[in-house]
Amino acid sequence: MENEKAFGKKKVVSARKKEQILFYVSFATLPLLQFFIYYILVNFQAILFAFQEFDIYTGLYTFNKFQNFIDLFEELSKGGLILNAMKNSLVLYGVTLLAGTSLALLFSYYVYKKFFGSFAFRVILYLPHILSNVSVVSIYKYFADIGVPYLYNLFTGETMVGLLANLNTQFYTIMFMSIYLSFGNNVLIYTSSMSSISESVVESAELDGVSRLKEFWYITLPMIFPTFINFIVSGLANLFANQMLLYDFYAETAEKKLFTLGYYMYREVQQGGPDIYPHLSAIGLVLTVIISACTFTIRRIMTKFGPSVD
Amino acid sequence: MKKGLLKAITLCMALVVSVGVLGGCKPNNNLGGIDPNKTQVYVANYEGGIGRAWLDEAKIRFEEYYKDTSFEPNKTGVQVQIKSDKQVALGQLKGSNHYVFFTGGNMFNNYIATGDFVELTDIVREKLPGEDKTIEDKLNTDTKAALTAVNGGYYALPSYQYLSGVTYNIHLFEEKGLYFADNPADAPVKNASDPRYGFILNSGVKKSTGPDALYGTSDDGLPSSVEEYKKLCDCMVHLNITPFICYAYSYHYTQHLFNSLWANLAGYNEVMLSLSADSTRYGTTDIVELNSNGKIVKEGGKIKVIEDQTIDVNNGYLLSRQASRYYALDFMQYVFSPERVSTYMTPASLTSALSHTDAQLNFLRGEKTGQPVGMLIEGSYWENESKDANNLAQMKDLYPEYYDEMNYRMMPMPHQYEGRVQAIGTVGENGITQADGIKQVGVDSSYQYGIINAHAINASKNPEVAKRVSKLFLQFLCTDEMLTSGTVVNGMFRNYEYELSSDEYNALSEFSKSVYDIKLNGQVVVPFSNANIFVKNMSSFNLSTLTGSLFTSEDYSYPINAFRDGQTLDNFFEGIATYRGESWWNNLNK
Repeated sequence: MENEKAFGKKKVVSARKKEQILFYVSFATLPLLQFFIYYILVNFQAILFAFQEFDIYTGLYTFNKFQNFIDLFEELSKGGLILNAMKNSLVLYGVTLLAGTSLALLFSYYVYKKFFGSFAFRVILYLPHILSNVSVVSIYKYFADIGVPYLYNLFTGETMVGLLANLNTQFYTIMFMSIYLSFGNNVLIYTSSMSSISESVVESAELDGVSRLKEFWYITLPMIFPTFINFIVSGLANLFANQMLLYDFYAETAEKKLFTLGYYMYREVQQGGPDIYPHLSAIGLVLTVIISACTFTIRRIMTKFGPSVD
Repeated sequence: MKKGLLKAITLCMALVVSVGVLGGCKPNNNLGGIDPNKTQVYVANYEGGIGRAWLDEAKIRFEEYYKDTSFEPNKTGVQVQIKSDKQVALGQLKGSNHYVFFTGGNMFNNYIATGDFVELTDIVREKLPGEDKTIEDKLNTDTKAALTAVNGGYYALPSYQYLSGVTYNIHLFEEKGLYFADNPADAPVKNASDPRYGFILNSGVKKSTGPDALYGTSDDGLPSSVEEYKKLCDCMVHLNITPFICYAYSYHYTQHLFNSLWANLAGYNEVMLSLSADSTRYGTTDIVELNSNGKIVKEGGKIKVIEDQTIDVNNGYLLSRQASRYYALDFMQYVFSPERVSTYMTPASLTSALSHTDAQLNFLRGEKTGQPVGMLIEGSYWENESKDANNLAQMKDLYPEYYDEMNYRMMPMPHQYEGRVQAIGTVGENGITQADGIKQVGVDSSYQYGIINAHAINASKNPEVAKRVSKLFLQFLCTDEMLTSGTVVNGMFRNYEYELSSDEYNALSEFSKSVYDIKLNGQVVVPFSNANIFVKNMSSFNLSTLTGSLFTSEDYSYPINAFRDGQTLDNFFEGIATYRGESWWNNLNK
């Protein structure tokens, strides 16, 4: 009898376990499959490509040891397009980090503290995200090339070349838009993060007569520092993939001086055929090594030396 | 209440945005309404410039031709399903269910050995329906060689071609007399320093021969050298006419000017030499001499040219120093230098405010709006595109009288750097015909080809049937009837040997006739080659204006930007020679 009971119990547990497994499998299969195909397989193939070359006559990829890397470093040693694109990507990241992030933090703080017009600011900053990039860029192109010269003429009586038409200003004009478009997201997330700061902490600081600046520096920033680190780290990971909206501005025909690495790689894939993948994979692999090292180092430094809640 | 209002406003805004986005989707595809009693052919078409009217016409005729034929059990006739937009590209083959692709700007050689395309050799070499000819019979020697370069078989067939070039406003040219007098001394302005010197203006004196070196042809009085071309631009500016308009925000459009000018300064063989590095087939070339520091050698202020340089696979890098390229770039530098660019090209050209169809419209209506423009830099598809954009209809509505007088043609390009071509004679006298003149060289920068997508065929329910019907469709498009009717529909041509009847020719616009004249009487470079170095590195020899890389330096993708940026001609030319020098060539040769 006891055995039967025990057997019956065992059966019940087993059925529940089965249900749990089924539940787990039904939820996990698709994401895992997706992860396997689009992460493991794709990256594995990309790594293979980096050590291969394409033969147009056979349509096959054959191993060529490190030739793609040798060619890449040879190209980099001469300066040239890829190095310039890397430089532009770094400038974009640097400016985004210094100007974009610090302004986003300040704006977020302004919104968080519900200062005058903060709701309007929030809407204005987030508005471009409601529309597609193409629409926003089209409006901005008109503004930069027609609106700005018109206003300049209105106030000075002199003519000027549009900001995009002028080869000397187009890079910064596009970079401005790229940073502006990232601004809305940053403000939204920083504000949400600031909203979770305990009101009692802020109130007690206010009772102690802490100034706004000190409150921001000693309370708000340390409290949202994990979010800040996430932004820095994810921005770094995206450093060489950022197109700076060049495709939205110029499709495939941006001038070389404007190229970022993200745009260069995307454009090459768009235009090229199977022959281009080994070259691009080699670039990708080298960049992954550089970026991973930088990301881990910076994350470690920031976690160790950044402001703490204590 | 307030919250409700806010919700309503938010909902309205979301709807406006959604409708706006949906409004952008053109319902131009007819994938609905599949007839289960017919065999389907799914066709994807790159619509830029060429449009889809030709394909709609082909669909009707093809369906009619095979309406009683059964390709599979229980089905009779065929149905062509067309998807046509500007996103169609070869990169989409694997994920697409379209059997036939017509794409533009793609380097198809890379996809042949990978098995992405269905081989077409059988339909290319069999007799066309109702004709004694095969498709192969209609292809010229260079095209045949280029199409079979990878493994001897045919995998792609030419679709529409368009020529790079400049369109000039004949109405304006005639009204202002912007033609060179045969004898400058007879021209009304006698002061040689006056920009109008040498032009007939309103005098009616005899025109020069123009680039073809023949009197009595449509190009009489047009510039036959770069020197004369510059003078023409100067004269226009003096008469308050802007020489050029172009959608130059997309810089590659300006390459239409460079491509056509260079091709005519170089000649057909030298251009083909640039794509093959093989002097045994295309003869020698003249190159600019550089010293050991890579600087141009000059004598008496002029560049020193090494004549009759033989080119082979070992010294192909010398092609970047072709004298013809230097001369064409000289003109580009002249027009686009910082001090001239805003007067020699409409200022709006460089801004994002002007679209390509805006540029076309401004060219057409310039005389009526008080902002006359002499020349439009565009591919020869532009008239068809303008028609689709309703520019021509707009002109007809706004300026009905002027519309009837409007006259513009593809501008024949100069053949030499300085002076004037030596006159051969007058057409109709002493047995001289138009064929005796110097031929125009057109550059087909379209890279438009038709292929069959092996992935879609293999994924279809009945691959053999899908393959057969797709092949028949491609073959059908190459019949004389379809080649000519396709040309009449959109005024554009395909890279096959075919002639229009006089009725068909007369049905074309003046502009299309001028393009046809180049095709018929001139030589058209189709920028493909079967040389091994070309086949392996097709994108490095690209003459497509969109992705062209033949004239880039390390710093600039497009000559216009180098010159706008204040680069001197010599600096830029030396930059190209260095960038595309020996080590670059050796890399291609690996």
